[in-house]
Amino acid sequence: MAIYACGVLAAIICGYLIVATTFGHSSRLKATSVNVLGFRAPLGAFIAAWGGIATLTSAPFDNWWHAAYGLDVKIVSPPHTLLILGLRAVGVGILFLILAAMNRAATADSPSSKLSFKTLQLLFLYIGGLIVAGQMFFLMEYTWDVKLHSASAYIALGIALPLVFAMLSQASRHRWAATTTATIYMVFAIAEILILPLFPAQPKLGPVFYPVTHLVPAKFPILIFVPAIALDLLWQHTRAWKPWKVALASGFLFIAVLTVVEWPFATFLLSKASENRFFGTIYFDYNSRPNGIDRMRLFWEPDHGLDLFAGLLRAAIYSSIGTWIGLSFGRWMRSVQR
Amino acid sequence: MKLPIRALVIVFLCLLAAPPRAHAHVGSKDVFEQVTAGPYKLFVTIRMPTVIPGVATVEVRSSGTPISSIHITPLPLTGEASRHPPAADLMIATTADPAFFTGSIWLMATGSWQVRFDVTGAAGTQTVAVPVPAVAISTLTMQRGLGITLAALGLFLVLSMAGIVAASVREARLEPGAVASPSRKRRAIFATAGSLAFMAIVLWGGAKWWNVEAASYSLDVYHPLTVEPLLSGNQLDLNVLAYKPDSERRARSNNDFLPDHGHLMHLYAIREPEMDAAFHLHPVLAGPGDFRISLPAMPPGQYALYGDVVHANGFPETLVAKITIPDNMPGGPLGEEDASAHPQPLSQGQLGGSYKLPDGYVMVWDRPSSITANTAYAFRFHLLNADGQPAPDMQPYLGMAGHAAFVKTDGTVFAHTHPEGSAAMASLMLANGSDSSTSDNMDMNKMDMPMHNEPISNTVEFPYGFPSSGRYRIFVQMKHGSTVETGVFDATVL
Repeated sequence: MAIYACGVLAAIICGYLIVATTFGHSSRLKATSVNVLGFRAPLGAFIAAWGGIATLTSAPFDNWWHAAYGLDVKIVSPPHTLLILGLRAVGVGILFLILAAMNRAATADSPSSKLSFKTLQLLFLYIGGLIVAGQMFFLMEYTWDVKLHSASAYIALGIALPLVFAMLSQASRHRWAATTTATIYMVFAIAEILILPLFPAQPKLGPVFYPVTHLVPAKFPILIFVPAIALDLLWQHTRAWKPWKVALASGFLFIAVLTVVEWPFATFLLSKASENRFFGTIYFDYNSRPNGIDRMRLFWEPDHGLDLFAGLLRAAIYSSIGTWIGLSFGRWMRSVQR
Repeated sequence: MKLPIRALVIVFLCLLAAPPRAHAHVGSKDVFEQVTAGPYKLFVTIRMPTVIPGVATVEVRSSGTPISSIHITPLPLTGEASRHPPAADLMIATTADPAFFTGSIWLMATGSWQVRFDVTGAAGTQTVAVPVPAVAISTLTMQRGLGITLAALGLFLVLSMAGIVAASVREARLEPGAVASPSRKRRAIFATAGSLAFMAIVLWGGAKWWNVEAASYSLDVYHPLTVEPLLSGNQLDLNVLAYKPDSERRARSNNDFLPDHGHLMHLYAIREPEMDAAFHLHPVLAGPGDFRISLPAMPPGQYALYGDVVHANGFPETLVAKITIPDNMPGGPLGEEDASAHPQPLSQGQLGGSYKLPDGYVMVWDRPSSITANTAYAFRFHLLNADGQPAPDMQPYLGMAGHAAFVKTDGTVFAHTHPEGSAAMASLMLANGSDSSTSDNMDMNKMDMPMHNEPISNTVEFPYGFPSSGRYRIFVQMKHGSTVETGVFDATVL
């Protein structure tokens, strides 16, 4: 319900902004607006409103989906994809609202606009961090700790992350945009591990394979801040490069650093040494079967040799393509004024 | 513009076209059960969902000692998860009728489940469980209204997104107050066309994905184990094939059956299409998955076979097959615990409320004045001797006061029930604490016949609700002396 409330809020607030700009008399508002199907408002308002409507459309669709095919235990289904697309559009819309103001402040010279640029930039990075956390949540099924010795996890991360990092870095004009947003995700995920188990809870639904007495957090976050630092450093030193060269280097760098860091860390997560309240590998959800791969702390279908190499190569190529799209889109976003 | 709309329409038409299927337990998904928990008597109706995971609604009518509250908990019948119940849900007593409780539970996985009732009242808290087989039996089609609404919303999303793309190319990068140049406007038109083409591809991909998901779901829709009947002379072999899907958890063996009332299979053979010959037989296992029986003399023709079996995890199945009995098939005698009936053909009209048996006895049904679908009834039958007096020498038949089969005349519904209800006895025992998977057959038989030492009444009640309207034939077996009687009745369900 809270998820749909986000859609309703976005639709109402941006709907108001659209109506106020279109039918109001404020010439200042009108001057910084665009025209969509006859209505006027800042671009971000339209994107966020679109996201709100998409979110609300997914509600009856998802409801029907559950009635037709059963309550899904999967995150990735067609109605959920529409929902996530909608939520992401709300995020991007807000990003654009901030961005347009930020871009206007960046070109102005007064000290007050410098200050407001800094504030807006921080706000932008915070929303960016939430978007990164959202991406990671969507990928959770593929990046479960027991799956981190399979190429598929790295392919999923390669598709979803460099694009966002590159876009945020370009659009925010911040030297450490990827690092900051990745850290925001890490902080949220670790806080969840530390805080959720403090609240008592018990399973409401069966089958219960593992008796649970408190809220169960998600697995320890992927250490994406390390490849994010690598990307930020690379981007700081390659401003003169052609975009396709930057993208190619970024894709391979991202996957290489991610693999070097996460591969041994996954081994650690599956070892006794990580069984404590910080790394949280002592927590299992009620649906964990005693003979399940998660409870036995074994890797699920680990890849070796050529398979692994081919998979990582694919991941690096996807990362490069994603980076290129992200860089191009981010550069375009930097010039958005309204 | 045309392409995305068409793609969208195709997506929604795909939904409208998917036909529903219903198979499980041969058309009778709901569970009706009369159970006792200490001094409390409960008439339980569990209306099973058609998809899994899904919500089952539970209704309880209490008689006997008054009840103050009932908690219900769904949990698997066997295995690790049967030892860890989730939080129980409180059933709500209706204000108009404090003895009638309703509630609902989530059945989250396919398989053999139970609903546990914790009943509290004047005599403290007592527990009893009813087994339920949780299977997906159909996929739902989308209602036209919802389809049109979603299609309209989808179309709006596509058009407004194209508008947003156009606006971002045309105006988003302009200084505040500036006006778009003709070249920007031209670029915006190209961007609109491009975005529409892109969204068309995305929708097309989405539709394909949807079909894949729907197809993978339809693989999970329940079908009973396949049976290959082989008739040579009067020896019938029913070869049951194991079900081995990709997921081991959904697999069903053909070699893990529990005895139910002392028999591994209860086989009904009903002659089609007139339902004028019916047999209740008990094949024995000749090898893994091979049920064998020497058939008694049977009128020639095509027969529908319904074989009830129970797996080791308490999951009951009704296996279905058809056989053709040739003219002059040599027939053996009817087994001691087998039964047969030769009622008038369906086409000769409805059978009445009393059925004259071959030895002069009469079976009488207290037929309700009208019977509606999906309503729970306790159908009551009496056995009278030739003088119209209650039959004096009643005996348990297969450990029970009686057995009944409710069969729809079009063959889409078959339910074999007992005075306790429609759940298989072996599952009921698993649910209530006797681990029959480890006990031997002797034990099974002993526990199977709880009423052996008690005098058997000439009246028997079967809790049941017809799943759909139409014409049904009911076969009821009761035993007196050494004679197993089969009374036959017709019902028109509204």
